[in-house]
Amino acid sequence: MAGSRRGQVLIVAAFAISILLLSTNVYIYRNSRIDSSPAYGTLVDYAQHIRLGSIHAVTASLVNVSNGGVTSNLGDNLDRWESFTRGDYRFGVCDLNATLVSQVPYSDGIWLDWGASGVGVSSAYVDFTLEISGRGAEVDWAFPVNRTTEMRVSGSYTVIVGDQKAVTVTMSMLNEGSPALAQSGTLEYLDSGLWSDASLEGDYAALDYGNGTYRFTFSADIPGAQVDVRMQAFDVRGVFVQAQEAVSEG
Amino acid sequence: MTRRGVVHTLDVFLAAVIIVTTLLFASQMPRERDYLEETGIDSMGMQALLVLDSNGTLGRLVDSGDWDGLELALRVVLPTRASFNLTMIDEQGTVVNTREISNGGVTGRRIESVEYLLVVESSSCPLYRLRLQLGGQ
Repeated sequence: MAGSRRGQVLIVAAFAISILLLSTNVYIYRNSRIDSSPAYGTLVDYAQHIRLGSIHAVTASLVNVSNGGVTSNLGDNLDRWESFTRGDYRFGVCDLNATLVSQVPYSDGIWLDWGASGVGVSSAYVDFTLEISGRGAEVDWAFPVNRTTEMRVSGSYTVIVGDQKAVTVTMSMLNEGSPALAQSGTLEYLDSGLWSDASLEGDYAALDYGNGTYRFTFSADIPGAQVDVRMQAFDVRGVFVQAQEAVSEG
Repeated sequence: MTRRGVVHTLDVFLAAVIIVTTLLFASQMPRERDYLEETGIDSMGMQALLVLDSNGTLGRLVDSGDWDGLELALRVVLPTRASFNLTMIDEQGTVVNTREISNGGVTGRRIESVEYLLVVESSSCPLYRLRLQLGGQ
């Protein structure tokens, strides 16, 4: 009877030791997972490179659409990118989905506003979801991509004599709300219903402040109390943007 | 008496089996997460490509076919002890680099390969698959 009880104690002790060993192991395993192990880093790098590609795809599409391409090119390029990533099975199935934002002022992910308010906007906005599953990796990541090139134009003029005016125009370029450099730009003014290139005027001068702000001066015979100026430029990514402003005497 | 001895032996044997099974199971557990366990050189290669791609340099060099510039950029971002060979494949599966982009062939005790999907920020939005082979100690 006593021997049988001793046997039971032995079995129970063995079970207790087993549970202790397993618990310790699970504890160590969980703690090691919290560390940024190289495997985790590799997966993060992989997801990050898909995100970078998505940003580039949206930017490339904005370059195309702002330069006269059809709006549907954004969706077409993203479809290509989605199927390109779907063929990559490094960490299992890579499922990237892009949803074009259609909330006002966006339509099919694109917003081009080149009106006469002194502000010009070329923008693309897409919501992405990335799911990677299989081979032990699990990623479920939603990230929005908004690429916006904005141009702000302001200015004033002083009357030299008669209709002869000395015009000063300041242009600021912004990428995603931060100052950005312009690649090239053209300043025009409205003269008798026709746009004239301001750089053809003899005293035309352009000053680059190096921080995304540019100052242009020229003088010309322009009748009327206001001078309509139009600035067209590309940012360094190649996105085209245009802004128009009615400049007053000041 | 003899029967009690046999029972004791069986008890001890059963206890030993339980502990050994637990130990075996426990030793297997960390291995399950080793499927992604890739350290060093491939991770380094991926990060090098990410650095070049983050500001659009990689796309510009690939799109303009500036193989010299690309090789130089990789020499800068990769450690000198790493050997590399880069192959660029377009969307149709055609190799586009017209010459070898390498610092003298892939050599070393460990050889790894990194694949990178690249989108170029140009109007036609070209897509490339970059295969970076790396060798090191």
